[in-house]
Amino acid sequence: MPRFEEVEVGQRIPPRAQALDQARLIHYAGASGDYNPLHWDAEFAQRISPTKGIIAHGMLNMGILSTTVTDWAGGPENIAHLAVSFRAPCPVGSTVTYGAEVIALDPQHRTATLSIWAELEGGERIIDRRKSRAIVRLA
Amino acid sequence: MACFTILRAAAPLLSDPMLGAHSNILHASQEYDFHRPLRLGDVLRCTPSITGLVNRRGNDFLTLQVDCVDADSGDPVVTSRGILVFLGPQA
Repeated sequence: MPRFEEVEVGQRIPPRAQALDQARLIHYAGASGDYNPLHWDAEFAQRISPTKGIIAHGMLNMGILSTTVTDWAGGPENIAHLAVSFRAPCPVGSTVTYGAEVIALDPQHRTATLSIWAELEGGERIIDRRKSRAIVRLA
Repeated sequence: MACFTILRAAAPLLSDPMLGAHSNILHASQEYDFHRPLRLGDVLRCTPSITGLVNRRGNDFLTLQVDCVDADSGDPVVTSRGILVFLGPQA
């Protein structure tokens, strides 16, 4: 758990990269109970999906991004608020990079506000950093 | 949390014939306010409610809020808000 005095605005937390192949999406479907065929049935996805193909669960990306933040924060108990905006669909087979940057500090509550995001290899943001935030309690 | 705040909370929506909901859904946004840390052994009472519904370009944007309180004390533990997009027939 980082100390308030050691955290600075502009600081980035260690990023994480994760490949989201079909097997991982199927594992997440089983773990979460979200069996929407958009995440495993190519024929269904061709009709419904914004990409015309299979896309990852938004909550899978939110979950991995959340873990990226909690690893830095020293545990999930230090997260006071987490908000994400899913900006673009994430095609199956993507390697996604998750990141966060401290954008504000509150000395009274000893918290940091972070802008958080997830992006594809080409840099396209699938979780929008302008609208996605975490508030972390610091030591 | 995804299991409780999206799937179990949305299940009554999807099975309500009066609402006209269906399963061609995208997830637009999701947020959580943690009023206190979750602990092993916690028993939560979670109440879903529809707090917003707007139609934009043929798609319905539904805001689903879930208030989770400690089942014993009634104290708030987690509040979640998510926007689900029910895709219109032309989408």
